[in-house]
Amino acid sequence: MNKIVFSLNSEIVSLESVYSTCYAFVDRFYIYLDKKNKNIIVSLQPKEGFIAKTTEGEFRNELLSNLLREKIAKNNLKIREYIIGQALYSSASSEIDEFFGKAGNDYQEDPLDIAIPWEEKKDKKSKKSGKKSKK
Amino acid sequence: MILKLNKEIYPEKALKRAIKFYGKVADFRLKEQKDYFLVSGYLEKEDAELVKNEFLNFVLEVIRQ
Repeated sequence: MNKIVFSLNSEIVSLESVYSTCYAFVDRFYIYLDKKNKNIIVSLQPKEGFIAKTTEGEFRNELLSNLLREKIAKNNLKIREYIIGQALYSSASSEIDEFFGKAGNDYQEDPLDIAIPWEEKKDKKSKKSGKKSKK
Repeated sequence: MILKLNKEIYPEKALKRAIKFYGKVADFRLKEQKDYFLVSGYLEKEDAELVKNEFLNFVLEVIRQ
C-alpha cells in the first residue's frame, strides 16, 4: 500500500498538536512517528479501503487548525480560569446562604442552643423530667 | 516483531499501558536503546504487520488520553 512519509519542523510545530492531528487520522491510517534532529517524521499508511490522495495536505491543514486551537487555548487560559473560578465561587456562596437561610437568618438567634452552657441545659432537662414524673 | 520508538515522541508510561492492554495478543517486552524504546513480541508472520500497526495507533490514542 502507498505509504506517505513527510517531515515537520519541531521548532514550528508542537508535539501536542501533532498528537492531536494524528488522533484525527487514526481511523483511516496507521501512523508511525519518529524524530531526527529537529524534524518530526510522520509516516501514514492507509488502512484497507482508504485512498491516500490528498492526505499530506489534509494532515498539514488539520495540524494548522490544531496549532491555532492550542494558541487560542493558551491565550485564553487566564480568562477561562477566572470564569470557572467565578462560577464555582458564586455557586458555593449561594449554597452557604441557602444553608443559613434554612437554619435561621442570624447565628445570634442560636436555634440549637449551642451558646447555652451545659449545666443550664442539664437543669432545664431535669426540671422538665421532674414535671413529667410529678404528672 | 520489533518496534523502534523514539523516546521523545513515545512516552514510557503510554507504552507500558499499551503493552499491558495488548498482553492478551502477544507477550511484549520493552527495552531501551539510546534514544529509542524497543518493543518486541513474538507473533505469527501473518498477524505481525497488522498487530504492529494497530499497536502503534493504540499508543497514540493512549498518549492523547
